[in-house]
Amino acid sequence: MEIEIKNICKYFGKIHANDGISLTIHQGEILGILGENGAGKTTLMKILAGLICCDSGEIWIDGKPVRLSSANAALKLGIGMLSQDPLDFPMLKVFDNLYLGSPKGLFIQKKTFRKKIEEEEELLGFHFDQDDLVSNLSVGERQQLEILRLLLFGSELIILDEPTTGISAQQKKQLFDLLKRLTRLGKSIILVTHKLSEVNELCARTVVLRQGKLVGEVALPCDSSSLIELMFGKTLEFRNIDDVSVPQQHFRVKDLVIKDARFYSNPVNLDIRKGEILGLAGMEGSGQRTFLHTLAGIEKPVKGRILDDGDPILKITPYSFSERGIYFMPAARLEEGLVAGMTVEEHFILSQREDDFLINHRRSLATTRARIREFAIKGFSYSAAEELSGGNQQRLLLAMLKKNARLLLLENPTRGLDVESTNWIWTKLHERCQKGTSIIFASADIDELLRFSNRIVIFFGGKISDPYESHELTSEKLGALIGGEGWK
Amino acid sequence: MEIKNKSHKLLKHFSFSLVAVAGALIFVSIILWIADAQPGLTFQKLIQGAFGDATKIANGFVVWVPLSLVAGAFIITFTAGLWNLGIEGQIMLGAIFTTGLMRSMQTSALPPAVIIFLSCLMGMVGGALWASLAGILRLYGGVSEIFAGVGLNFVATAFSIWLIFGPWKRPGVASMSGTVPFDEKLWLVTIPGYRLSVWSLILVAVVFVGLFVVLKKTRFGIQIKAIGKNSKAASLMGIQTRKLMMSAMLLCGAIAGLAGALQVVGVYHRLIPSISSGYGFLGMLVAMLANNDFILTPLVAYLFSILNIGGIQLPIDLHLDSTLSGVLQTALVLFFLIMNGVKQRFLEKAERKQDGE
Amino acid sequence: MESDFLVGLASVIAFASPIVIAAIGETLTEKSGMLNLSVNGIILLSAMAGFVAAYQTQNLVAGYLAGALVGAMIGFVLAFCSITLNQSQVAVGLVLAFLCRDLSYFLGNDFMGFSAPVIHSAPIPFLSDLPIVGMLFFDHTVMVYLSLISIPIATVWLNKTRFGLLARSVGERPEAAFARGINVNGVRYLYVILGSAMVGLAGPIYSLGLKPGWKGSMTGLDGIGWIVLAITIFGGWNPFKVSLGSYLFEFLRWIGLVYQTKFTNVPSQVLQVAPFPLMILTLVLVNIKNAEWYEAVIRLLPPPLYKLLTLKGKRKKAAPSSLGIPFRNV
Repeated sequence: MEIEIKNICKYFGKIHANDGISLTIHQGEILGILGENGAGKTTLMKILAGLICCDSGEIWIDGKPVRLSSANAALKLGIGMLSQDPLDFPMLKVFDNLYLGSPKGLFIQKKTFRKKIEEEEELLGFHFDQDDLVSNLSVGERQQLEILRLLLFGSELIILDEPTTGISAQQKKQLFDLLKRLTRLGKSIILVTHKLSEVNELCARTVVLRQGKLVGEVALPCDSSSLIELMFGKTLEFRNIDDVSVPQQHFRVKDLVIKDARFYSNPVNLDIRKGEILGLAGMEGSGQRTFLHTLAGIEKPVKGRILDDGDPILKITPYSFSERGIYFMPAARLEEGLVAGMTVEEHFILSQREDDFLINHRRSLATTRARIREFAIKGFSYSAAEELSGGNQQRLLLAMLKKNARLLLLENPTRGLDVESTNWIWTKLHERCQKGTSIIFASADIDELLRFSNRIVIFFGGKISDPYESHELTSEKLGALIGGEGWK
Repeated sequence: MEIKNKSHKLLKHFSFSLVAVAGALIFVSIILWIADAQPGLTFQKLIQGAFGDATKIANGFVVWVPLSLVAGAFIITFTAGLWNLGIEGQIMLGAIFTTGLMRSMQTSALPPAVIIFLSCLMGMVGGALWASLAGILRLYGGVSEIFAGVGLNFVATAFSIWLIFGPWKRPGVASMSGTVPFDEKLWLVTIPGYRLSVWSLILVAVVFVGLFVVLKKTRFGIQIKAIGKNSKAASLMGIQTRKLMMSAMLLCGAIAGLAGALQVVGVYHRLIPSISSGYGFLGMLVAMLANNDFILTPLVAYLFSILNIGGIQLPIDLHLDSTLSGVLQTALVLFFLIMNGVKQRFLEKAERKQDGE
Repeated sequence: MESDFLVGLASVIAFASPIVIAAIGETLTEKSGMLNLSVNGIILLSAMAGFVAAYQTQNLVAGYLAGALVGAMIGFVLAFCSITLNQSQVAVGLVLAFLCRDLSYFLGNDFMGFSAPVIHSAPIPFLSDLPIVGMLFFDHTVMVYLSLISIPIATVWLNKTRFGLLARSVGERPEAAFARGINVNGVRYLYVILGSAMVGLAGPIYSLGLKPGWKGSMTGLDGIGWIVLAITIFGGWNPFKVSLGSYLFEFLRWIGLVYQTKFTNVPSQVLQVAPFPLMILTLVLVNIKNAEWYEAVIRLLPPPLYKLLTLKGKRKKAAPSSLGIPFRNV
């Protein structure tokens, strides 16, 4: 089966998620697709798998244009995708999970289907206990299960989106062996990843996406630096922000082990200095969110402690942490940070948390107006949170942070914002650092990390690195670390 | 331009509400037709039953007192995102506690006004206590407050029945008509000739003003509103969601308990089985129909009260069961919900059209 | 004495039959992720409608069908308002519960005290003569037999048919079901209507058999619907366990009756109401196992005790994950 993607475009509002992408996938090959966060890889794959529609462009299979109107339709035509979250049914049995979606009939044809499953398993080289619950399987096994399902329903092309996030090395080997086996059976594979070593190991060629465009096609194996350059672009020279950190520590992280959905991290030991800006680098889903949650008291660590001026923090709730001046700003602005249906003024009343019982409306209005001015929020005191644009919601979240904050934990603080807003937000944050606030932020933007952090910690595949001084890193080195290269 | 948009919006909302009322009336008319009754005559009798004479009008307010208190109480927990179905039981426990204190103070030397006042306070304690049980089950026991509430209602009913037929029974034969009535001097002072007490009316006004202030003008009120709309974000903002949800339950229970207390001291002067008279659920329906608005709620409560009173006449005059009032009340809420849904889809379509332009 | 006990047990099975059918119906509904709080109202309304239909036509079958039809219609209204019109399932269910109750009292008023055909016992030849089991299972009315076979039928339906699998997948993870091309809301409509029809069958079982006639608010059916909802949870959304819960409830009621005649110091009215809170208490205790504080407390116990208590909890009575949560296909 030969698949051609012709000039696909997809817009989300003003954003060009996919900008005229064309490529071909040959039968029996493993094609790699590289790119950083937001490059457009997942969007393109979702279009190919029938999950979303493109705005323009065509997809041809074996020389004929096709309409991929749904995931089911795409599967019927032979294209199946294994997402990072396999969209399976944890509470159902393995057999049921595989059977669901089968054609008509009142009774489940257990015998015939079981045979079919076993035949397919024979070809692939693994075996499942069909009466086991899906939730009892490991992540790697659930992936295998989903691949099995896609093959049972006639997949010729299998797309894998970041499949090795959070699986063990052994499971990774099993997966890769399976993929090679599949190509010998004549199937085609697309591997979407940010991990350079994997692409080098599995693929004969790879394409690189950046900012919605296809910027290059490379035969493999090849050396990382050219790949990194394609992925992240030329290094731009920026004036780095002044380091105003003081050697005096506020907080200390001691032997901290966090558990993300799929893995346990290595123990982390970190001193957080007053006034410093610590950047957390790495692809999304590598544990930065859990790390921030743990430092904010939202999640409990598996092991280890957080020390505040030498004393371990024992009560782990968002409230008690906020009493200590530790605040968290989530990336999902409307789902986690703001309350849809409440006004800007009400948000300030909530965040200011003074001890009064009755609200002094005049005072809160004055505060609100002052903050709106100070943070240039395009909105009124009576505007509902959901009416503000994304950028203004971010400004609101920022404005809600209390003045006395000692540690700010920011999850993707400038995502979706233009350059001007980004610079302005960082100026504001820097002012706080000058007053002694420490900041830890996660970001997918290498430039932002290099420009604004004093130190950077990298997250990759469940591992948390020791901090690097940001002036020691170049964007190539940082890109490589994010891609898994150069770790000791 | 903006003013025009706002009044345009109000008109749209109003017209949808009008359609809802019309729908409910048509539905009830169909039901009446099925029951071989004449809709026009029935509605007329209903209104006569509610306003026919001074006693009836006064009785309308007698029902309004507990109903609006309960509806107001329900708004608090609903704002916090809780479906406090246990409010029926909280009314009963309020009545039970009130009766209990009254019984023990019947021979006391304190002035009756003081006794009544303390008993009402006791009623609030009873209601709050019962609400705290539902709260604990929900917040610490992982049980949905819907089932905890309904379950506790059953327990409250059983408890009151046990008291009426057991330790508190009338000397001689226990009776479904309740415990021994209190001496007249311990009755809440009413307008002479009627069962309505001015104190009750004043209390309702005070409570509503208080609730309004608490919900709209205090930090507590804004916080529970945030919890109700997005408890995750509220928690991340550092709001102590559990503590506040429990407080909302306690406050609601206290007011429900007060409603129960007033039923004892002002209306029945004893404990009867099902003293809550279904006001718990009816009050919930009132709040739903009034869309949790503090100004509309007492008005809708009054509408429901007069429907209740008006319905009493029906069996006598037209041989129709008085539950017609209930049919009309619930039909109103149902059609309101339907039109709400229709309105949302209508507005969604209009918005999408606008964006497309 | 011994045969008294057997007779009592047989009566428990008979009296529990409407609860079994209603609870299994609600189980099916909730398995697909929908919450139907109007069950109490449906039972009352269908009891009245079934009775009236049987009275007017002097035909029992018409009565049962009328009840099921009423149930299905109410289920449709619930599904329409909550799925298509996107109103809260809790709100709509509650309003319908009270609307149906009041409708049943109002429309049934004219038929109070009338007599309609009553279903007769239909002992199965040969099987009903067997010792013990004969009386317990094979000497009942057709409706009781129906309730008994509904248990294995529902179990098979849910676990062995494609339609049952559809329900379970929609109830567990509607987004994943949607991605597989399943019409999530369509499945939910179907199961709400089907489940409500079964609940609607329960009403006439009372008014045409177990508690013949219609006596308005004195019929004694008000409140059973809430117990049905509790039993659905208590039974872990499993038809067999749900039926056990129903039998337990009726057993408690029977004990109350026996206790009443033997021990007159407790007022009968109390014994009448007692099974309801007892049932809820059991529900709470069962559910509490899932609470975090429970975990924390039993962790403090000596290891063998801890093992015992967690082992029991492992058979987790997990609710369908999407229960009560509306599905929006974005």
